[in-house]
Amino acid sequence: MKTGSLLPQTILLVLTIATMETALIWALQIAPADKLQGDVQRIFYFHLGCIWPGFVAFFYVLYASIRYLISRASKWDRRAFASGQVGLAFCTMVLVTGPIWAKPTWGVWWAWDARLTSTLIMWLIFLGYVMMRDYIDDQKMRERLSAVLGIIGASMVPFVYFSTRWFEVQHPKPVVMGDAESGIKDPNMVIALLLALAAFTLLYLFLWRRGTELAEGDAKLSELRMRMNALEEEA
Amino acid sequence: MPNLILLMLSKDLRRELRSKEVFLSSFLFSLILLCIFYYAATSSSVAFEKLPNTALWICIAFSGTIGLHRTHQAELQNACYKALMMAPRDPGLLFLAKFAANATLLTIMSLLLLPLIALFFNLDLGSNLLKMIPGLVLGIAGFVAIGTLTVVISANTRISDILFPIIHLPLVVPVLIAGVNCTQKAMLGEISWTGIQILCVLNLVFLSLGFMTYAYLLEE
Amino acid sequence: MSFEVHLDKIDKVYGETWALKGVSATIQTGDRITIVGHNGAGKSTLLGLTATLTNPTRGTICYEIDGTVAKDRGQIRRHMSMLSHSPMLYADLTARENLKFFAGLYGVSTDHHGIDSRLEKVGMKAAGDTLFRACSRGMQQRISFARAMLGDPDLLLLDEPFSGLDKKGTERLKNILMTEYRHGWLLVTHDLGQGYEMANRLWIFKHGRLAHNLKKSELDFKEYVSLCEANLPEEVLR
Repeated sequence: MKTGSLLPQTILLVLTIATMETALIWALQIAPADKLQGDVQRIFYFHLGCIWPGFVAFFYVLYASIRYLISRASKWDRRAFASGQVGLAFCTMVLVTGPIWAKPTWGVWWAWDARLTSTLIMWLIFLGYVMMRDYIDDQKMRERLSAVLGIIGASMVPFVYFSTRWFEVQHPKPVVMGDAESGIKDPNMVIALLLALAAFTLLYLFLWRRGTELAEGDAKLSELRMRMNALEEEA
Repeated sequence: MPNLILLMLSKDLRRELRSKEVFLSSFLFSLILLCIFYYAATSSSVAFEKLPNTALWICIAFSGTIGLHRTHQAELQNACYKALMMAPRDPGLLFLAKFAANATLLTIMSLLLLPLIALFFNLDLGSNLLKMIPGLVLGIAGFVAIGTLTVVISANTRISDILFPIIHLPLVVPVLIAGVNCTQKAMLGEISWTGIQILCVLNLVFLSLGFMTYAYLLEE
Repeated sequence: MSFEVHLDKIDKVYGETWALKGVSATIQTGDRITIVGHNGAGKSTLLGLTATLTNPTRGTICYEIDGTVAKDRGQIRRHMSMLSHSPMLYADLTARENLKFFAGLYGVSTDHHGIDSRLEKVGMKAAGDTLFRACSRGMQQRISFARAMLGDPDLLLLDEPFSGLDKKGTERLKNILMTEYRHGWLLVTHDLGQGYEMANRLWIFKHGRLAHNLKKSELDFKEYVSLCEANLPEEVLR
């Protein structure tokens, strides 16, 4: 199994690094600066690049959790969990890059903008999902409850996005929006954005695979430890 | 199915009348919250009278969480929940019954809270009370539908009292947003049809989620 | 009515500890099985597994009702009920209200008289309207017994049902079990004498394994005690 998985792993890593580098070059050098915001706008490529795999990650949690409840096979739990962890990491990056971008454009670090707010809530939902596992001792129970929470949490994501936007309509938006829509006109900007999206998607795939392998190793280790305990007890 | 719901409802209402658990944990806690709210608002020179809706939903969110946790703890006492788990019933129907009982308790609690809020905030509820009901009831229903699931999930962890609000509250944000909007408009004499529609959709989604997944929570 | 449970190579693991290891056995209609084993030997886990409350980590449990294999949990659960050291009744309801609720929940049709006669059977009719929390431990356990008997189960799962009861209360409950109840049970107990007396089959668990599975007729009480002593640590035998 090890030798079989090593090659695609390496290919994926090389591909991720190459795309990431190209995306960096395109976003920082080739794409022109935004007319309104200047160079600050360039963080947008990474901001949006992170949120996209975040979404993918959480929908994969939904899918894998359903598969787990149907099959009760631990591998689906490990896949869901790895995806949840990576998704949480990407969400964190969105929450970090958001304020960095907001400060020079809006003048404040945080503006209760629908995008940021909904990402924060999504972050909280999946923080709960990832955290909860540490507090359940029985493996089967942990898998089952995580799967149920994963399904509820991921199903809630679209509603969180929808409701924060619906609510925002009732209130004036921050005046200096300087939104990205105004800027993305140059074809090089589009290329930079697409490259960033591709790079972060590859990064998600790479991290998710590593996360799953790590969880598999953990499971094997705990199985061995368990057998050892059993032998010791009988001796 | 209606039998099961009535059975659960009468059991939980009777228990509540005797123990006053939810009343104590939710209603009195809300009273304290309102006092803190007053001082927090006035000391930062915010017009306190403009915040009845805010206060109402803060009370529902926090005391509702405490109340849900409390009622589930009562189920766990004497291992009653185990007997419930072993019942030869459709788990989906058990979920709906438990949801109905929890939602009724919390709705009664919030209806008791309304006069207090009207009193404290010099609010003339009389004319707008009926307009507030749909937003309030639907909002609480959505809150409880998710809560009935998350309270069982968190009860199986080592730190259920801490984990329950942490996993429950972010999940009900959409409901709270829509509920807050509905009752705010109602207090001004309007009805927010969009809000009510959203709440209906949310409730439908939550209840079907619960109906389908509750079976997996009725295991040890 | 026949109700059989087949356990096939059951493993149950909690975290990194084994509760049950490769347990294979059959519970036949009318089997009255006493289970002993040291603390944490997976006795309660076995009851939970049999009750369909938990799933085994590995292995299968198969239920046979009247010769046909039953898959539906609801159908299986109708044939079993559990009586443990925690009474599984609401403290804020009276005995009668409790029984009424669980009768409704378990789909047993009972009117006022039905509940009364069930309470009378366990000698609790007079206490029917007392709040459950106000009942003594012995009374609680008897009412709990009435709850367990509501669906007229074919298999009772008894998890230390006499713990916390005084001698008189224990005798009374034992008496009802031995004379009124006609079907089988799994009894987890620490009391070897009681366990031997009530059983027609004896199971001894050691480190999560079913070490011995014997008919009562195969050994007398003395042999049983020495077998238990050989398998169990002293603190369990008291």
